[in-house]
Amino acid sequence: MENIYLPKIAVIKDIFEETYDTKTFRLSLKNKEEQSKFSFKSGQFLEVGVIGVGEAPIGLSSNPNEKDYFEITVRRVGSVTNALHKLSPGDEMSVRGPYGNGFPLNEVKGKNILIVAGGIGLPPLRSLFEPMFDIRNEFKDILILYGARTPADLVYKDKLKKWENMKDLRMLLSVDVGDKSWKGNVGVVTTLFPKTKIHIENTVSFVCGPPIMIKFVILELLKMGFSEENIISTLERYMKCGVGKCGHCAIGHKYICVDGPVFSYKQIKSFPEKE
Amino acid sequence: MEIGQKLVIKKDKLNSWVERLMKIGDVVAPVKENDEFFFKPIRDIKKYTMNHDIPYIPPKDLIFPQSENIFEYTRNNKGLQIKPLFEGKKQIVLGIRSCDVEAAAYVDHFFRDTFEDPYYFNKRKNTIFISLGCNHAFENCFCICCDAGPFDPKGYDLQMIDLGDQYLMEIGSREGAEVISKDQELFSLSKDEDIKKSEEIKKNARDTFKEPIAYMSYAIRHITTDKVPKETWDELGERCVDCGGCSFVCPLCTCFTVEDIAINQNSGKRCRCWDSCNYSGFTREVSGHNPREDKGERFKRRFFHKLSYQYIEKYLRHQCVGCGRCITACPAMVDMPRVVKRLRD
Amino acid sequence: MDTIATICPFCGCGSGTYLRINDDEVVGAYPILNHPINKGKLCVRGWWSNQCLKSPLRLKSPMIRKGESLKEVEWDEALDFCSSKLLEIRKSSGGHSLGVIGSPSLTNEDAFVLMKFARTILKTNTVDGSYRFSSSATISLLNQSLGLWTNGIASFDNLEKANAVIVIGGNIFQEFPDVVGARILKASDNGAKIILIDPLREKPQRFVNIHLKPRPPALISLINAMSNYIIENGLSKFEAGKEYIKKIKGFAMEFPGIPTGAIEEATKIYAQSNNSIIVYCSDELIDPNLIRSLINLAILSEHINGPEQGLIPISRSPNLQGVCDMGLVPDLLSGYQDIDKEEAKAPFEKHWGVKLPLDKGLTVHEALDPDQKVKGLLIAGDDLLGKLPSPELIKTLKQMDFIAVFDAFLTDTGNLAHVVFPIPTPGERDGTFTNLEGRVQSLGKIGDSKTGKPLWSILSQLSDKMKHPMKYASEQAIFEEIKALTPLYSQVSLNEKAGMFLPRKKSKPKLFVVDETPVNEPPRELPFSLAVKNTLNFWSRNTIVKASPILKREYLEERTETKINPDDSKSLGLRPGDKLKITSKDGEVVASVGLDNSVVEGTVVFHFHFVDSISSLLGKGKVDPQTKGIYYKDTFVRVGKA
Repeated sequence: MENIYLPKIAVIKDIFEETYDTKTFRLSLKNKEEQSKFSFKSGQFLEVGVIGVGEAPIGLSSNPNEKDYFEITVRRVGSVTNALHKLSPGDEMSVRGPYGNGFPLNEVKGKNILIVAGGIGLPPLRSLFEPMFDIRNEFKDILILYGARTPADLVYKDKLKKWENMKDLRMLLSVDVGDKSWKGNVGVVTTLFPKTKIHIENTVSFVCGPPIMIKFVILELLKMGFSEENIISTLERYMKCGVGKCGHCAIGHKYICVDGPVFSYKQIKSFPEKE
Repeated sequence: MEIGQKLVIKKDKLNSWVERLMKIGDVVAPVKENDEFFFKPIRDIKKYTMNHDIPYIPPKDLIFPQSENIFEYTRNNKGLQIKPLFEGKKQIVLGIRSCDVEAAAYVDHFFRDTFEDPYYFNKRKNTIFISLGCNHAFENCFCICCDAGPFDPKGYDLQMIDLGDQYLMEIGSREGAEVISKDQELFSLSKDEDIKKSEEIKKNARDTFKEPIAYMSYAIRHITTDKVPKETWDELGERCVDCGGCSFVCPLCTCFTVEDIAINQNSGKRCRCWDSCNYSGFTREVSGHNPREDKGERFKRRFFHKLSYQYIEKYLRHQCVGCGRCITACPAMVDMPRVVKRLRD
Repeated sequence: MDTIATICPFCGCGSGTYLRINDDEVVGAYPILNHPINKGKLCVRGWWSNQCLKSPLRLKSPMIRKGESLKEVEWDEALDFCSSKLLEIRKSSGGHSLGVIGSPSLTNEDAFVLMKFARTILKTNTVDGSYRFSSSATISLLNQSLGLWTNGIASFDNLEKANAVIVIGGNIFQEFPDVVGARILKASDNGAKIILIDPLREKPQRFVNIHLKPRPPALISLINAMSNYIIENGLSKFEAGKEYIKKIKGFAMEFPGIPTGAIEEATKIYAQSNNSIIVYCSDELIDPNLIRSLINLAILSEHINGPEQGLIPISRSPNLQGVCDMGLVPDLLSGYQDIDKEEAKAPFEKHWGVKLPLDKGLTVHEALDPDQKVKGLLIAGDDLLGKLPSPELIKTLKQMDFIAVFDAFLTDTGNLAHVVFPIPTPGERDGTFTNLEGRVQSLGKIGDSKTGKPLWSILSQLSDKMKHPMKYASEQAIFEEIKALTPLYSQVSLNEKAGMFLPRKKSKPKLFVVDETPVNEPPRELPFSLAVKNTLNFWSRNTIVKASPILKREYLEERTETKINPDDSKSLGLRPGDKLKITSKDGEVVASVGLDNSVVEGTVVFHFHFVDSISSLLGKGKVDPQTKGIYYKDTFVRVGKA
């Protein structure tokens, strides 16, 4: 039987600094054969860490169709993520996974897609919309609304320009507090809603970001007429094993690491505990 | 030898059988030390007993120990090497009570769900349960309220019933049949009067329980439908002192936490140890936010896991076998029967 | 898997625990089912403190400071270095320039040998313990009032049978749940009346019958008002009562926010019940006048002679009573025998073959005062800087000529030392503890420590090198010597299964004169109350907690200097990141502030270990002449946004 607690070794191929406290790590499994067999679904996560310090659950943020590497975007908050930030290209880290249920990419084919992201909520959503571009005509309209606190807090700055200019993609940015060079929208991400056409019929929306932001965005979406099954979000809890055994991430009778982290708003409402 | 077959063995032959079993692996049986009973591998054939109370340490400890090492690691010029640590001697648990066997069946189901836990099953596949039915209730028992005894639990390999001068031995599984088949000459086929006597003992055992002390179905119904007022949970949670004792002594609780212990810069190990959802740090996130900061919420959560229909559906039984250990372990007297009784009032 | 029976090394309850080992490695702990103290229950610290045995923070070998950092060395080198430095200082500056600071987590045997080493080999009477920081006033005050502290202590089992229990400070149920909390709940279920006097708790638990919530500075006045009421209304037949009341200034029963009827009822219940017991945490109530008032209350209502009634002063340290009994105090030999009296000194001098030093010993506060010119310190068993992380203390320690630290982990204090010796962690020691019922219990050990040596054994080896050998074969041999020289321990037999109680005898109690001005309500210009919360022994600063992952997760460190209620913060207009300006009649300070729902409105809780800020606000701490500890009084203040 496979040992689910035994991590694999991943080598850091490259590191990109996104903001003052966030880095993207481009990883590849040290064992080439394991890397060739490695695959994941959008929205799944890995338990990454430094052996000797611990592990933390981080969502995969690269396109699952990319076979040579996979990426994670890590914000520095605690002892594990601090240890990760001290690593350099060529260093090793431990990974276990991929775990979680992932986004329902195939089930939303043929629909309009609305993606609302806040701050560090964009990386897991990137693993959702980048593969959509690979099969672009299987989806109808795709709209991405992304907000952060300040222009410096936006992640994937190098890719945002590319996405803003893509022909069959609508992308709007917003910041809570602008700076001298910011020319875009200023305000929380919900202030973008009245500024553009949002399809409601035959549309599925994906929302990721800080809990407060998710709460307000979902309220707006419900007001606009979205049904509860068509609002999809992610839940976060403290995790240890990632495989539904240790009990830390349990909510109601579901485990966030096995039955989630992706849930529809209808499911989230049914849980006995609210965040 | 077949599953369902019933044999008998005279009590004075039991030691001979145990000696032969000791050649297959560790025979873990109750020994009395310091005025209480422990399940320990027999080293001296004169020192074990079959007249024992429920041991305070639950037998889940034999397969899912209080703390265990998952792997060792070393860093050297060849990079990082990880060595998983598996321990698994063959063990035959003799004299385990019905409630604990029933609990073990649930724990097996839990660790097999979705992902199989290799450390648990490495020990489990080497373990055989020979249970001893309880002819009379012990002080804190309420297994009859929980569908977990005092006889015929799910998952026994062999079940012994004390008939006075001999034991009735029922075969419950292929492994049990295998164990007996090597020593057939110590056993004889059971006679009708033996079976009749065992039926009588089973009936009389139920009468030795005190007044039913836990009305589980009422509690299950109300917890499932969330009809218990918040006041009640707050009152119970206020008394709870977050010691975690109930989760550690309970044979069905399985939560654990994982820690890395770095012995020095270049080597160390990862180990896991029991944890309890009663602790406030159980759900506290790195940012400091804790979704279950309120003690009433944590208390409610534990009982939701134990008694709600959502969980019964998942695991085919509710998570209490009526062993009574939590009654001893709780300093604040908010153990399972008291809580169930309080919910009813 | 083997199980070794031992005593939990954490708090002063002395719960029986099994340590479980698998091939030399500790796997966990489990409560002893039939132990008379905890009866099969443990609190979170009892379950998980054994994790510290595997911690990477453990000291692996002796270390000597070479240049800027500590380097691992062999035992011989460390012992040679330490003994030669001690001899040098003793020769050039006299024994009184050396001092020894012990800890309430040492066993009785370790404490006794440490005391003996200091007096006979270092020739100093400066022998004290880190418990002095939290001013463990109870023991010395009970001694002075009743002749022996054990006379005034109730036993745990009698707590279950009590008819009235006064609990001072509501965290006792959470902090000592398996022994004290469980028994109070049982008493309550049997009909006892529970009276909670807690100025810092907003809402009492539902099983509390009466909750009195005075402002923190008015707590002492409340207790004295209760004593007054008992005598004036004839609720007790204590003869000296009426004379005593005339001496102290009048304390009235009116406290804003508390209905007078509630105080009267609580007083009547306490005075008129059989077996009334007062329970408090001796590390939390640091004001000696408060302890005096409580002892007076018990004496005046004739509920003082244990074990069925009296006080239960729980301690957060495992052997507070024991180390005080062993003479880890400057002016007393073991058993509270006065070192200045010839008849007390003589048996010791005869047994040890040496005259005891005559210089007056210093307390730990005096030893750390640069004016006293103490040049060398032995610090055993505790992390002074962990308790009092003050730049002033760091400066004082850095200026010492020589510091030797004996500890199981490398602590902040150890990092400033010249030599560090590893001692065994809890679980690896033989010896005895005396819990706060006065019960002496033997520890069990899982095996000898692979890295440390017992403190008494290191001191023996040092004494060898200092040409004045103290030889002991084992802990039992030390205990025999303790029994021979200490009348209090002479009848103790270690063969009893759950330890043996120290003797008590009924005695005539002496009342204290409480030098305190009645305080009932805040003055108009200082409407807020300041409560100084003693976090020095608080679990989050405890070394064992820091070394055990689960305990570290459960006991979070206080990150802010003060805490206030969120509603107060709103009315003061504080936003996240703002600081609080606090003004008292003695000073002013700007402090970081955190929000806590459980803090009572109108109160600021100041954490003691931010000692520099407290001194700016309240001035230097007061030293009580009888207990010699330093304390800060709760007082009224004005707060605002900084």
